[in-house]
Amino acid sequence: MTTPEDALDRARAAAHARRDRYGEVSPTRLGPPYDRIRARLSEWAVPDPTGYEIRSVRRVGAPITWLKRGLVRLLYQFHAQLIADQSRFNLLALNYVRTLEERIDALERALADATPATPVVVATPVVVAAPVDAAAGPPSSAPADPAAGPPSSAPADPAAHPDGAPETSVGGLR
Amino acid sequence: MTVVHQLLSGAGPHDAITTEAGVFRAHFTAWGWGGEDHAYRIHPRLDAPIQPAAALTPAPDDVVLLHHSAGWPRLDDVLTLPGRKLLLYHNVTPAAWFWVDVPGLAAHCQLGRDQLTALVAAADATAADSAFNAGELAAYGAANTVVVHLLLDRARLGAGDPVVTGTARRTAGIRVLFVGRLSPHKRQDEVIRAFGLYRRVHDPAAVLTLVGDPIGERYVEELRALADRYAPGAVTIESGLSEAELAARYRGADVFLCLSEHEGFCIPLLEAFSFGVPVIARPAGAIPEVAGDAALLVPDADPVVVAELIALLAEDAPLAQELIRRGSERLRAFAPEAIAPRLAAAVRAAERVAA
Repeated sequence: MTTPEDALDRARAAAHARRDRYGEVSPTRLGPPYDRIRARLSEWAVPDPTGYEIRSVRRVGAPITWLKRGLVRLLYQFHAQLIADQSRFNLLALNYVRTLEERIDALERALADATPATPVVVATPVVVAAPVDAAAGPPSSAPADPAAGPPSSAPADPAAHPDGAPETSVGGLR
Repeated sequence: MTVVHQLLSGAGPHDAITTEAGVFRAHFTAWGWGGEDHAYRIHPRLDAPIQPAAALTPAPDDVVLLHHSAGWPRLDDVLTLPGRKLLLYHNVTPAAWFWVDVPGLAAHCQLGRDQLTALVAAADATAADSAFNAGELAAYGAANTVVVHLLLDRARLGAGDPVVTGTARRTAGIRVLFVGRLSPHKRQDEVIRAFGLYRRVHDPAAVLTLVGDPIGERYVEELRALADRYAPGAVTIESGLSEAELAARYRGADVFLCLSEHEGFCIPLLEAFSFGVPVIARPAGAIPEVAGDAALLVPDADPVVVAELIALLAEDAPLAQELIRRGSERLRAFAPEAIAPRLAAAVRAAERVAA
């Protein structure tokens, strides 16, 4: 008899031994379906109501449904403006979130790459520049030299960006 | 006299929280305590003495037991209720499980989680129906949470002695069962996939029954498509069963397979133990706490391992009998006489803190 404590090991061994009988089996995706959510976010950002969803379930529902759909058609121009405004906000917010996500990814990669001897310093927004001699003036916007080591945590210089909104730099990897 | 009112965000005929509120009320009445039960949304088919939330007018010394399992429609009304508040956290499923299939429910769950900080701050005492839920509540600032496990009403389904009523073991054509809401986080999709693999390699006559109310038609359609692909003709999906019908499904089952990834408690595990059905489960949420050593817990992301566990249970009768015996033992930890004193202690904690 197999004990309950031994059952999982036996099942794993049997799965290994009979693998070819099962053919190709993809592993279980564990956790919430974030991939499906991400894939559909843009679609959800643009409201797309359909007039066919407008109905009435009352006893004299048919004329009420007809009236409601007529009102929606009459108000189409107004609703189109509302939807355009809302879609603009949704898409820009979504784009902003994606930008943030990319920055977090970059941060995580930088942290993973950092060795204990060379800690990554996450600076406030700053344009990454080639190593600069402190006496030589403000940094240029030249790309970072990865071999130059971690960036300093010096405060941002707004003048370093043409429109005054400095890029954010993450450990010289961005 | 102690007076305990219960407030639910919603109450329905097949709702576990509503059922538990009824069991709580029976205990309160037996202890000579007063109070009434209220809910914001009451299902028209509910046959229970639950009144609208607007009719709740507690006295300052009364205890209001807030059953929290989803977002409250008017949180300020709840927070400003007179009386001493006992927050009982039943868990709120993370919204991420629902955004794709049921966005309205996802928003409701997100609201339920967002409201937890304010609810914890306003509560005089907190309780949770598992240590897992108590741990989640601690993250929102709750301290000294009393764990009051869900009270299983075994008489409701008419379960007898599991060792005696366990079905004669089948080694072929076995019946696999899962009971739980048809919802993405319950992972019926993976149950179908693992069952399909088992059926293909070990037992072409095996059948799977999934019992539960759907959260949305789209998800059920996805499950039906999966069933047609992995185990055509062998999967039955049933909803709206009576208690007698549900009991019959348990009695006819050889294996209970639960691959759910989020459970604040999981009553069907105890129901399976009650009917002498050996359990395979994923150790997610409160499942290890509820199952103890009475289930085969499988954390693997490999459905072939799950299929092999089903085969092991089907072929190894002593193993199945040992799990049935342990399941019967496990039920003692969830007997009303073990849990009712904790319920009383939670109410007393709310009275004591506020006094």
